[in-house]
Amino acid sequence: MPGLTNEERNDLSVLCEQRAATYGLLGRLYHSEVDEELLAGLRKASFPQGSGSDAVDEGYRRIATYLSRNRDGATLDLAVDYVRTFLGHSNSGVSAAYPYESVYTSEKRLLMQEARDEVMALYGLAGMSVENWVDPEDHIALEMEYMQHMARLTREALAAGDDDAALERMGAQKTFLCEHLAAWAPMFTKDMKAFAKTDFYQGLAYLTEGFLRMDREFLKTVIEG
Amino acid sequence: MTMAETGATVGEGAAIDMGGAAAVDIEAFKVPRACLIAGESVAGALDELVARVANELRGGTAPGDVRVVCANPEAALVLARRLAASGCAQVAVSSAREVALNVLADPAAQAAAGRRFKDGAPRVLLPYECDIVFEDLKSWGSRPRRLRKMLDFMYRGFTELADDDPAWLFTVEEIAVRKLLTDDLRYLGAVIEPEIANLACKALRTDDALRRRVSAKHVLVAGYGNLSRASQLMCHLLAAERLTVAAVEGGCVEVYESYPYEGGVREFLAINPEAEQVEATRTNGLSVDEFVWDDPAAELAGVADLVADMVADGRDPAQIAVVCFDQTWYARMARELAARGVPVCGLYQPLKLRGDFSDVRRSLAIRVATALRIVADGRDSAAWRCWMGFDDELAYSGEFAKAREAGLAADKLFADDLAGWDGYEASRRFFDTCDGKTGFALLAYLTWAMTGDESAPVPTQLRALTRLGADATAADMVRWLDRNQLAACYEPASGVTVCSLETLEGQSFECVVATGFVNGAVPSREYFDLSVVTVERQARMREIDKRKMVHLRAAASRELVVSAFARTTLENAQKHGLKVDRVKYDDETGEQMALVSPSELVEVLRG
Repeated sequence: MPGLTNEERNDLSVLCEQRAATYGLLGRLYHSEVDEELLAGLRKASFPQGSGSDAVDEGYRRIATYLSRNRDGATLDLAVDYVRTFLGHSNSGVSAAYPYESVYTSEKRLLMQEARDEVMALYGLAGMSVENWVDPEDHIALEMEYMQHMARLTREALAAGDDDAALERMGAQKTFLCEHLAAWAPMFTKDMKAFAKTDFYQGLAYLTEGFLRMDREFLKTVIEG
Repeated sequence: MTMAETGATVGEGAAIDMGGAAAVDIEAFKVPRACLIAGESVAGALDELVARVANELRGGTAPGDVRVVCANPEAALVLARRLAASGCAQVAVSSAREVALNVLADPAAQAAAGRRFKDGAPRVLLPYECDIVFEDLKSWGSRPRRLRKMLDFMYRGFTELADDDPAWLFTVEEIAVRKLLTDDLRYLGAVIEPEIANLACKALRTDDALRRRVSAKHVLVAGYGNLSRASQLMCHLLAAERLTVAAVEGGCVEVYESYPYEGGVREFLAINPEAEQVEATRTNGLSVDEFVWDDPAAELAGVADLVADMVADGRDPAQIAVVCFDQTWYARMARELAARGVPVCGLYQPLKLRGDFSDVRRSLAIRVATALRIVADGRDSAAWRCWMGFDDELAYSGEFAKAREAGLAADKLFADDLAGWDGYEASRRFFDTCDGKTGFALLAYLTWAMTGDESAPVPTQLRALTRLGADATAADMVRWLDRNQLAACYEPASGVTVCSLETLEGQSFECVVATGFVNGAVPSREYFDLSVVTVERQARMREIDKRKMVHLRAAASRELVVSAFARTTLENAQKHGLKVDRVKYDDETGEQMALVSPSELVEVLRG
């Protein structure tokens, strides 16, 4: 990024904040079942339309449709679908959309493979703590959290006027998307669509797919521009 | 190398214990003069062998007194051409197996081996015919898996002359199965591959007159390390005055004979401690270049461009070899080269005629092949055994056992005993209707007869027979099948050789290009999976693979190019058994891609 003007820096900072918010939302939705508090928050939220990505728009549409139609028992309904979609009912390795990178990037769909070791190292380099995390660290929620963390660090660098650091952090995010998150998420979201029964988690699959593709294009444009 | 360095020990009675294989009586195999040509280069060894043959003839030795033995038929063909170019065209060159079969064609050898062959010619059972014999052996009652392991042990034992030791087999089961196998083969007038050199050795050791008839003054052996122990020792027995052997140091690869004997060179020096030792070197050093392409298509195109550029620069195409580790790569590579105007000479892998003989839908090729054999020779016992065994899950082994017992007692072969078999007369009348038919018409007629469907296509594995021409008789086709089921087919054309690692045997090229050199192709995917192989087996697999790499490296006299690719579709990787390091989604194509790595064994190729 050649020297940015203040206006460009501000625009980029706002975009990074929005990206961080979206990654945060996605991370939370994958982390665990939707509770009452989150559900209430989602019902109050307004979801963007005309994002520029059909998949993102479809994702938001389905989530919004679910939230508007389902009032009673929604948290139980969503909890059941969460288990159905991400945990499954057997240990066959193919009975759910397991939200771990190792499962999708190892030929035998095993946990705790090289991908997990690699992302652990990246979290450490970025200063992101995973001490309280009990599952394998290549869970999609943590990878989303990493992207959120890096987007925030980028915003901080921009706010401090350090364009080089901002560029470096954006480079790290692009690499992480290409080598990790976006290298397996499409296979994962395809499985989500096969297993999820509610529009909510179907929508989450579309949203994830579309957002990651958009974000990769965005980062590529900014870095190469 | 001294006796001490060989690690061999001398026990009582001047036998040499090679620590595992049966002890060898030195005096029985000692040769008056011996020479070992060993080194890292096939080119150097071949040059030395050719020079020695030429020297012999210049020195007044008659061509008939010199015999050259190679590890496989292709190596024999190549060496024969080199000898012809050096004015030694009259010297006999053949594979060790052919030599052993010629020994066994002698009635004295058959008497010594306790085996009678129809018209004197040993009939070697093909793999699918061995499957029928396996059914006969099952009648003993051993479970198939146990039986296979037992046979594996026995076959290895045959190739290592382990049956010299009367206590070699000691359980009732092993002794019974061995007897059953021998009886089956005797009744069929046939041999199986692992016992060919074993029987020849026995015959040569017990019959001096036979040995004098078949031996030559000077025997030279190329690819000694790739022969079985029985073949190696047979060469000792055939050399009346001098034995010269050439071997690649550290290379011992199955190129034709099963169970190549790794201790062969050590044993040679133990038997002939005074042997002259010559080092086979390269005239220049070997350069090793490595390329990693994006994917297999890029690799095929890249390698083809590389080779085309070499030829365009004036390099002799016959001095370039492209080695493919996967069979499907051969045809694709040959096409890429041909598309660039590069002349290609293909060494194809042997045909694999196999099938479930109890089900016509899964055994059409072997049925047609068996029918061809009977049309060609109505007294082929092994072919009749197969024919009579079709359509029954047990290959009618019970009925055959009764016939075998009576037949052996009457000293008959199966083909002499068919009159009593149900269905024989009808079969005989059917085969009579094939008289006069040739070429594609014969194949189509047989296919129709097996399937009852006039429009049924000739089995894919046999379509190559149509290349023999419309006038090709059943006998012509059977000869072609025999040739191509037990060895690779060498098309005598001048061009870049596209081949496998095994068919590289006995050849030297200025430049060898190894393609598809990724983990999973070599070493195999199984090697990397400790849930499938034990650590011990993994170590053994590594040793075998290292020897293969030494064999590959030895074929290159100046330049070795190692080519790999970095990724392919997951489907392709799984289909070809590649080791997948990582699965990755390709956003552009929407496919799951497998990331693969260049083979770990590249270190051995670097030297």
